[in-house]
Amino acid sequence: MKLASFWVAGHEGFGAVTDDGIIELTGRLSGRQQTLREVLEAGVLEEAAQVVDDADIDHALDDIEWRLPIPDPEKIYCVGQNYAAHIAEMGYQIPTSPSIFSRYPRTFVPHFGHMVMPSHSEQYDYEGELTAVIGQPARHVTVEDALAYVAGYTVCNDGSVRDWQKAGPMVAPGKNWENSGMLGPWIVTADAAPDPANATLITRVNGEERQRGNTGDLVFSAAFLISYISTFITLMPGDMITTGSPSGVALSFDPPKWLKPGDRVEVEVEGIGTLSADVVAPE
Amino acid sequence: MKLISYRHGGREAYGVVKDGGIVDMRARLDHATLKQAIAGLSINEMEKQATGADPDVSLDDIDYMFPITSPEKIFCIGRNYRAYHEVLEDGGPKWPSIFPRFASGFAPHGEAILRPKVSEQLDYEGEIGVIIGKSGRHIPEEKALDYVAGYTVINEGSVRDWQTKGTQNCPGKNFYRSGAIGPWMVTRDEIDDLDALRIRTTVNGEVRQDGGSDMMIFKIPFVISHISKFTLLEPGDMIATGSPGGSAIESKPPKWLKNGETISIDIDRIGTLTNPVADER
Repeated sequence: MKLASFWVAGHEGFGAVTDDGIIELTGRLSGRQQTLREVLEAGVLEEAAQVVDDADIDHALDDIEWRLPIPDPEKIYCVGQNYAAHIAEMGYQIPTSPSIFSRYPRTFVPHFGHMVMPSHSEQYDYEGELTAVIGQPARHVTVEDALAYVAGYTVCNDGSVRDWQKAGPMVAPGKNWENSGMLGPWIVTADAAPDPANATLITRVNGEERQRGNTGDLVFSAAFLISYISTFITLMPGDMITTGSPSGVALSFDPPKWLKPGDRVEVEVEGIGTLSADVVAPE
Repeated sequence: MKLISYRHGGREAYGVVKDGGIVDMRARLDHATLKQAIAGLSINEMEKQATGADPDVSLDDIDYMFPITSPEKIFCIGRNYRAYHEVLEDGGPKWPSIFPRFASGFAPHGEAILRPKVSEQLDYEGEIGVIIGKSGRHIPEEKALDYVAGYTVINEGSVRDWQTKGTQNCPGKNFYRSGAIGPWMVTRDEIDDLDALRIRTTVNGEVRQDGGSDMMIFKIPFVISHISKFTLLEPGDMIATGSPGGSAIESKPPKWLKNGETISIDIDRIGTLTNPVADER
């Protein structure tokens, strides 16, 4: 099942995405959940699947405006330097512990949204990534058990402003520019998703392939990351962990192929979907 | 004026601290939370309503909550105090060290700070917390304080060995309830000189940190302006502005926080944030 959050006919909603259109689930389950996060918190994905099985299409895909799959996650953790070839192109060493940082939701735009070119930098870069969405509270979980806490998977562009990432010892400023990344278009529930340790990932800019990798090459797997982060905090339903990006970022080219207004960025994860958004100039 | 968020008799509320008690503003204003009251520009209204009113509830009878119960963003500034008489090399750092934290990494006033199972290295950092009062992006430094609603006390508690495992300090700065925020916020007008605040941290009464905000390297107006270059600051957002010397890691051997200890951080004109320390179970 593919689940998405959206605006439709002037209200906020969520539902299932099919090839023919959207089956809206807002307020339609027995718990009357109004958001996808509430559905995950209530643990009623099976009920949602049953409703979807018998339902007709409510909206055409063209009639909705996509929102972040979980518009209001409590936490989003990202992992840097997690593919060997990307580590090499950035000039770093293979780490012994993951490089973890956080982003706020407002730093991401949804599918078909508009990323805003940073007003104080030209070094605007993309990072296509597979993202795990947590389904139930996870604290001190083992690597073996970790994937049982995942509700599903979505796609991310961990858009980065390279000079701001290196201004100061921590990357947060370069990773938290307003509307600089992408998340979506939807969450593919874990039962329908590919093996998170074997998914092909491709990033294209204006149709040109820039990144191609497989999550099998992750230095720290999704399962390891969930277990590791759960050592220090309880991962909550709707929290997201985006697992790092393969080689081929703009910075790796000579001269660097920085993003600029008018560019279209697409990130495709095989078995999940293709996330697309355009870059616009700052106001 | 001191503004507080609290729980009393199973109800969440906020109000004005006065005469050892609280004048309940949740009962008097339309806003459900202090964040909404601040965003709704109701600080003056709260002042008016509190004048002449008797407290509705005693401070002894409440559970403290974070002054802003659900901040959207908490940015922290690392390594932002120089020592007295210290001359910074090459004029000091060019850029501040900035990292985000989530609210779940903090405990409210009076509740236990947790020493994690996986580490002994729980440390404290007493800091001035800035609370944003109105939305702003690209805020000029000279106007930055116009965007401040007030100030609180933050213990930017850190688990040192987890702070240096990877390239980013995030894991060591995100342990559940490893820091604290509170007990209340004071409004901006209460502090006329941001460079004249003394921060004192004591553990079981022993002074560990004693520093002045005049030693801050990147000043509060600069930090607000800088952060607003990359993100929209919103009412209720917080900035922890860095800690003076004297953290546990600086002692030999380090004086890590231990189960049963009590830590208090006192900042002039703002208040005293006190928490017991307990082992995570």
